Amino acid sequence: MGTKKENIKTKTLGWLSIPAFVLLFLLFLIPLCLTLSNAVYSAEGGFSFSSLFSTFTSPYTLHVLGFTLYQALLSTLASVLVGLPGAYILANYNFTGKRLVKAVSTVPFVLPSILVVLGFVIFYGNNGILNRFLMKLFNLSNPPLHILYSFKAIILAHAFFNFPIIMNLVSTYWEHMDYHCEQAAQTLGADSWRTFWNITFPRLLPSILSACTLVFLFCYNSFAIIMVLGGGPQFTTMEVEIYRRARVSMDNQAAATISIMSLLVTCLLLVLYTHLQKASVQREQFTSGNIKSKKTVQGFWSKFLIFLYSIACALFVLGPLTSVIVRSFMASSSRSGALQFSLKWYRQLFGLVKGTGNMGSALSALQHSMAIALLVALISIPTSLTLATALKRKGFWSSALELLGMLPMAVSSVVIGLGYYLISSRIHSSGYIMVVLAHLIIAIPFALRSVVPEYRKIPPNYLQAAHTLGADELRIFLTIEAPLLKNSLLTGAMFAFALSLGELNATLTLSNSNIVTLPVIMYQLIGSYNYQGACALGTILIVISVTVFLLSEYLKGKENG
Amino acid sequence: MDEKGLTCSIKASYPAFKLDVNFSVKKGSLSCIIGPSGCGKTTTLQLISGLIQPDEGFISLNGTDITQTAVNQRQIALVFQDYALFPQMNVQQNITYPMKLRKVPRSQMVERATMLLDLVSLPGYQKRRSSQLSGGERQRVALARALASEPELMLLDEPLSALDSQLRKHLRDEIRSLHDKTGVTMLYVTHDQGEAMAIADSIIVMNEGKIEQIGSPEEIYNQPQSLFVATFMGESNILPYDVIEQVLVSEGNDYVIFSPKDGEQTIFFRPELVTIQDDMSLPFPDYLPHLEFRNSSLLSCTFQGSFYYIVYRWQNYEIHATAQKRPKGPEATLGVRLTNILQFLDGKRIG
Amino acid sequence: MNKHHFVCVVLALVFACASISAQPSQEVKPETREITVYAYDAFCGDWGPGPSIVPEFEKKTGIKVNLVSAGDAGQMLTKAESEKAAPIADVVIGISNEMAGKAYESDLFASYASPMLTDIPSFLHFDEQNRLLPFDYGNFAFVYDTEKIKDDMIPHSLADLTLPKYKNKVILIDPRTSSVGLGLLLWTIEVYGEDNYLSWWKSMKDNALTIAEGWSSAYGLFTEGEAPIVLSYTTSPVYHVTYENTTRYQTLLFDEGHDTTVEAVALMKSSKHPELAKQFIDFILSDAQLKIALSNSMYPANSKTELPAAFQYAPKTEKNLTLDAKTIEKNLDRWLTEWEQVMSK
Repeated sequence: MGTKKENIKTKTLGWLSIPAFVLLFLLFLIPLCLTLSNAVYSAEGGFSFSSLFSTFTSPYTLHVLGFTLYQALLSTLASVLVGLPGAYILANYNFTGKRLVKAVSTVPFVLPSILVVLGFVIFYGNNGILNRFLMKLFNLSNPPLHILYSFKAIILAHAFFNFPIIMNLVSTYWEHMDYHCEQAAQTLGADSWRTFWNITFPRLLPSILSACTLVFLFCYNSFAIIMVLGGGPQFTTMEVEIYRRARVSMDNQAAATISIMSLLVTCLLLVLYTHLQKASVQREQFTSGNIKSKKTVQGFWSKFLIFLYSIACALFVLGPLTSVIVRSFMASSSRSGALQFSLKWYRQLFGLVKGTGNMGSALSALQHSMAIALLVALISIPTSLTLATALKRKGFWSSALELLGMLPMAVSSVVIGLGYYLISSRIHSSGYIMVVLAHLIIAIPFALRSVVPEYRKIPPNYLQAAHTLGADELRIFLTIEAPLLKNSLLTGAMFAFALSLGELNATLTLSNSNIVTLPVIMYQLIGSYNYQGACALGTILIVISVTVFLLSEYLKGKENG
Repeated sequence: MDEKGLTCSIKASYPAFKLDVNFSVKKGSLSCIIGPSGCGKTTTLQLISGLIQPDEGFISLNGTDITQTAVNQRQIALVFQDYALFPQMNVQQNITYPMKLRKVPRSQMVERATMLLDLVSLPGYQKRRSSQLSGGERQRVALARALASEPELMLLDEPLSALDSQLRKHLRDEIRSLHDKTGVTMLYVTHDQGEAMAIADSIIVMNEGKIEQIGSPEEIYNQPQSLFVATFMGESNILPYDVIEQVLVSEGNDYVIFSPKDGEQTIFFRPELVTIQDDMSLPFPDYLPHLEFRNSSLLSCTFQGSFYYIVYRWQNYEIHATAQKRPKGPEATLGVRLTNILQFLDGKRIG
Repeated sequence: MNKHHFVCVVLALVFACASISAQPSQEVKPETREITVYAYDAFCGDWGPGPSIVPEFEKKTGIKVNLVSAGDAGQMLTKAESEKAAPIADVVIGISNEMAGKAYESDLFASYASPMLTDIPSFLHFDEQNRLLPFDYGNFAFVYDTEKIKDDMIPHSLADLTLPKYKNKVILIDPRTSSVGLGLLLWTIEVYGEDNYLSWWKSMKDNALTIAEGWSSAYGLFTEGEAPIVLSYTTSPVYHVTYENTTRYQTLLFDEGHDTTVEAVALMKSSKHPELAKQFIDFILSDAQLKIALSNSMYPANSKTELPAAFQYAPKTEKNLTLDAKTIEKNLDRWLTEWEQVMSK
């Protein structure tokens, strides 16, 4: 039984979210439906459910679905295990280089998965840096670590890719939790562990669940990582099945059928998740005054543990990343191919030396990528904010709409690509606009995951107080709610930027190769033997994203002081 | 040093001020720390509870030195201004939490929670969630929860500031009665003098990190040791010392020594001790040595319910007074008995 | 306050503009000498043959070419099919023999017996009706690292690769997600027949280091030294010789022959400028051959084309194996499913 306060209906600002929904509808829902409708239309043009039925009951497909869910679950757990300590450290301690850590940890996001795979191989592979180092160190003749081409490699790579999501989303939420509860628990007799477990963790749960959904969906739709690093077709996922039918067999009906099955499962999960999240959001007090002032690390054991954790993460994250960077500075000059330090690829990149094929256009690609990513990040702020207004209120519609906002992540990229085809031929508008909008749609789930939990925390008292002072809903929204969400909005924008920088599929499809972005060039380089060039581009991408993220961390930090 | 109760002597530095306090709280008493915002009251509580560490000093509770003890082992409960109820738990779970920590058997927990809820006048509230409670109810749950941990000392950090004045009065009395019923030593922080004086056994006045005075409410109010305490605890009249020459009326054998000193010398008296004589036919008795302020003109008169608060001007000074009746005319003579005058030199009490 | 409001308005405007500028495809006026050509990504990008041959053609004939990239070959076909009601393309470049069956079925392409066909050897002609005209071809083959595989270790056939001495030394590609992998699948069917090809794969399942999802990853793993043998093209060494000045990576020629992939150019039935389009097709089959071969790292279909010296490192096989287009189209899905069943155990 809610108090009277909760039942007072404040006029919803739902109308604010209309532009965003129109966008989602036209640029996402419609292409999706068009593609999926193939499932029920057979080649002859008849309408039938038989294809759907047989797919849903095929034991092989069910087996594949089972594996997909299984690896996604394990990967998510691994990401949480790795990411949660990091979130704790970031939320509660200050140390030099903290912003750098936050910035660097988001980099895996930016890189196209193919480069991630490459980085992994260079570092963890049988002939990789780690193995060669250990072989030299212990004078072995065979590589001691066989990490790759196995199931554990999949989990490892997924955790590498995704634990920063957990770390960043959860730490942002954690930083703003009311700290008095923890202090109260301590005075009542709870030690640090019990305080965390009884008091902090349950309140963190909404944001953890929120981040977990993202990670789960990511891993569910993962493609290159699973196939290359897994080592074989015994690790087949739904995405592979869809890809096979859409691209190789070119059987749109079959592709659509499997997509629907896959989509149904993810939608179910999403529904479950939103239900869980809403149920567990208690009225967490949103008081900026109670933010725990961050400690500097004290005590030997704390320092030691944090040090261990940092080393492990550094190996984890930096290992593959630095492999890519180091690789870009190597070129083989002699016949035997021994690699030596060289700036060759960079010279080609910047047009100083005539390069093979597309290296020369890297500069313009850089400009394109940056411009598009910045636009996407900027637009993501009002988009996610306005969408959040519609999601905040309880009720059936808001749940349905939240689902819609998450859908771009749940749908296979192959399917979306198919859909894009259908609309791109009908719309002759500037490639730029289409690409920006497509990136925006991909970014929306992330921005929402960052903003919505924070938004739900704002107690209705705020709004009611403002009401009594004479402010209408719009004013309240703009002057009170929005500023409170500044940090989560910035986090969401950061993710949007990262996603846009590293986005490949939509760009390729919608831009008719008129707009060339960095990932596109990277993709082409890799497709034409030039891995070092791709590594050089990857290095540039890494540098840019670290810089941009550092900047946004500074912007966030200014408010907290 | 009182073996029983809280004794502390701590120093700590902060950007805004340097904290240097030294005081005791008798076991079983209710003491108040009072002072303006930013004077270090909350910081003192946090230091005592162990949430922050002092630069130097010691804290001892019931004979045990707890300076190095961890927060959760000091058996000091802290009640916050914003209640800090655990949002994911209902009322009963909040209250039984400290009992859970102490491994109290379940049946006992429920029983004691019920008893505590009765004690704070919230019977039957077990299953409610904090979002369903009003401010006053939340505060009472917070009190019950603190009591559930059976603390040796209970710290209350401006627990009533967030409530409206009617509720505040009501709850402060409840807190006092709770204290009397349970006998728990309480240290209560507030910036509201009325609150402090109403319920405290002993008041500690703080300013800018230092203690100005410790004493019973009457002592603090009637015998302030500094101008700061004097003005902070209630309305005041402060006039320069040499005014006495002009207004002293003293007959008889009383021999008043007029001794001006170097430095800023002032006299002080409370408004309620001012007699307004606006009926010339009833002069102030001359045989009592007093200061007489003739020809004071009425500046304002506000009705406070149980009395009038009146401001007069005499020469260049304002004199505040209280009365049961509205003054009859625009002019009056004001009188203050010499025994009610306190002297201060450079802000410190003398004489 | 205004900042947020402002950006909302901007967003709405941007979207409005996008919609406004969305128009159904315009009819190209007959007077303009212009054709639209669909090609796959690699063809159109800076690194592909497109940017160099298109200006040459335009200069030579005065016909403007609107080169549109449409994904990979399969996506291209899908795109062309989806536009049946309002066709845009005049020419489609890059349909391969593996998808020929689907291409014929789509009924999108017109017969065109180009005069250049006489210069193209008959084994490359895969369509008697000349709806699909071959412009380049390649053979799938295994490429090896001469540093790691010495003469005594060189495999000479597909069967050799299943031997224990090659355990974890071979990188294969998944036929469900890659055209190169598909080529390998067809190759094994061509060599072992439908009844036996799966046993080769079964043995390779444990013997191979990994089965990558595409050529890029596979070759990347190879150059990183993860394994010394990788599935690729016979022309792969040409790149290393030309741009890296090394002969370290060599092709393995198997006596049993190699699967052939042939890329074709096709004239759309719906083209409004068939004469202009035909000129372009002829150009592709003649003058552009060298540039295409070099950029694509494939063999030119036109046998008259003179190849640079580096191409000596791309050995030509005597036996160019292919499967009939209809056979492929009819059975591909079943093969893939069978393959999947066997390999996922």
